[in-house]
Amino acid sequence: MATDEHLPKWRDVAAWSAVGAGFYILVVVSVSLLVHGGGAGAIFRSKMVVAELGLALVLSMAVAGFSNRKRVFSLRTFRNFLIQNAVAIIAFLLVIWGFSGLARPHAVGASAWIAAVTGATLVIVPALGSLAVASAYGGAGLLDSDAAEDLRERGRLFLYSFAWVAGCGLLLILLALAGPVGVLSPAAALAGALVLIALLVILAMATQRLSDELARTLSREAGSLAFYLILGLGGGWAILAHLGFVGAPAPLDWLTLFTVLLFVASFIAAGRRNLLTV
Amino acid sequence: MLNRLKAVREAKGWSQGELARRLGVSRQTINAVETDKYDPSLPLALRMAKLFDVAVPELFIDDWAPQED
Repeated sequence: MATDEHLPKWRDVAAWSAVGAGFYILVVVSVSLLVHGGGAGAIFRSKMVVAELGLALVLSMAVAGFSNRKRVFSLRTFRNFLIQNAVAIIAFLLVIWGFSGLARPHAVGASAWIAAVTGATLVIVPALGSLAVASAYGGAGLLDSDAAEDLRERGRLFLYSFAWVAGCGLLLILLALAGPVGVLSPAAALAGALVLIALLVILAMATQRLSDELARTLSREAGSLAFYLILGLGGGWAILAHLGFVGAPAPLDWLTLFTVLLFVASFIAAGRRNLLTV
Repeated sequence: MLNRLKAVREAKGWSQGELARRLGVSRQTINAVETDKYDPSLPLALRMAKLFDVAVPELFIDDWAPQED
């Protein structure tokens, strides 16, 4: 009979929750030192801020404990957790900081800013994934053995998938930079978009060829789910806009919505089969 | 659907990766089948049965029984 050999142990869940709490406090104190310079005390004067930070602390403990529930707590996995999360947080802070400085929402418009930040996130996540693949091949030991084996076994598939995700992100950034107050001319943006779309098609075909039946099944399920998510959220937004309750979505909003919901659908499809952790 | 894939694989002394290589699928697929997260396609189930020299119903267990008239 089939059994699950990686059953969660409550001791590990508790340990990872504690790590999540410690890591969160470290990040909050570091960010407040960077932003306020004078010390972390400045941000704790408002009761509302303290309440929000407290809630976020509980959430970070729950996320760290739950997402690592099947991961045995050891010095090695603890070190890997710290390195992986530190790299991810620094990368995201750099992206947000970069876009906040370069393109303020009120200067480029909310749609373009959201599209650009979404695109940047879609570039940075696969870049981190590619680092993980490189680490698996390089034997740096930054990954748990199962994850490293999977990445080595299907490195090319992962790299093509990461390139596809990054391509989607670049497409959003390109279009965001070519809005009415953008820095790119519409003709240049169209040419770039056509090149990116052609690359995305080629990468999708290559990925499909390297996928096995489980990956193809998940891909089909994600596609189907994405359609219903777009129908529900996009359709709901269009109805409310038509009736005058909210502003109508801009064309760039639709593109951001399509992209985000496609990835949300992929996570739901994998999560429904309990495949987000192997 | 319940299955005996892990038991027959271990009886052969194969790892999940070894079985995946022989069947031309990923290790994640083998893991997902063994842990009941994924029911394989009919062609893959047939290949598994052929590889272990058993019938498909010996590998995959279904409680369904036809209704008696």
